[in-house]
Amino acid sequence: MASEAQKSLADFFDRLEKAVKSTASAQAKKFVAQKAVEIIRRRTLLGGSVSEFLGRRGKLKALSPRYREFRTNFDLLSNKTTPNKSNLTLTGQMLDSLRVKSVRADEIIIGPTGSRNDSDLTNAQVAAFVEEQGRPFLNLSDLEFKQLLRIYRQQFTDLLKRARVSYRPR
Amino acid sequence: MRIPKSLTKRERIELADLVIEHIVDRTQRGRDKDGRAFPRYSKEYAESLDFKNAGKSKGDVNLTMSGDMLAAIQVLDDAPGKIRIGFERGSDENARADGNIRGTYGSDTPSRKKARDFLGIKPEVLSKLIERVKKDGE
Repeated sequence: MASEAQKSLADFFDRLEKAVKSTASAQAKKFVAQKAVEIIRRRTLLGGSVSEFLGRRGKLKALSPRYREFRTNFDLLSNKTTPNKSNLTLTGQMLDSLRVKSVRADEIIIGPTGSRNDSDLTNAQVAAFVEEQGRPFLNLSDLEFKQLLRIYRQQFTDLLKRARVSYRPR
Repeated sequence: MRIPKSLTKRERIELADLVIEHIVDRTQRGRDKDGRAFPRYSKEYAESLDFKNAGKSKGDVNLTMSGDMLAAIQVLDDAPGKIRIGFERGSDENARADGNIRGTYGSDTPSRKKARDFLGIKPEVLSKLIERVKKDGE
């Protein structure tokens, strides 16, 4: 199993700052990073996958018949999924554990945190495993970037006198 | 949409950004292009797992599930006297928007009762945005 999955938002904030032509404060970065966590969690629960930064959203790979059968008989299956639904949710611990892990001047890290109540693994190890299995999720798509850019502009810039937004989807 | 021919390229792009901002904001407040409340979500949709997983509430009809559809609105074209706003042809978001606007939602038959036409702007609101852009340019 790979070490641990986490994501630096350095590239994201580089893009954001270029788009709004100003430097985001640490407070603004933390706020937007928290929104990024919420967007990733929601999209994954809906079955979406993003394999690269600013890539297109796709669907998470379907579950194998054997694993679906296991889930059918699993008593603790989360109410946020079904035996056949591929949304990186069995008990729900891994997605629930997504957090802003660190905020420093030059780097913000988001990712799964803590250990699990059903094994010795950490949630970050489980996330790394599912990504290795071809279900990447710890990324931001082009449209998610646009959502976050809008949230940032709404919260931290004066929309009436704002810097022009130069970002356009690829 | 028709706009004054006197607007420069830069002003047209700024206006288009403001129009998109208005459409997204108004849609997320549950209003269509004429300012009317959207038809309610169907019982089946409101009880679906995805609806719950997206953190939506039944009474809050804002055309926002993942948020991708509204984020995908973009400037398609601009020229002196006009700007065109919409979705990339052939994209998933274009199909979803079309389903909302015509009220088809996957079926072939449009339904005015179910339609949620969010892609547009009242002439008086557009006029105000044009004035704002002109003022910014002074």
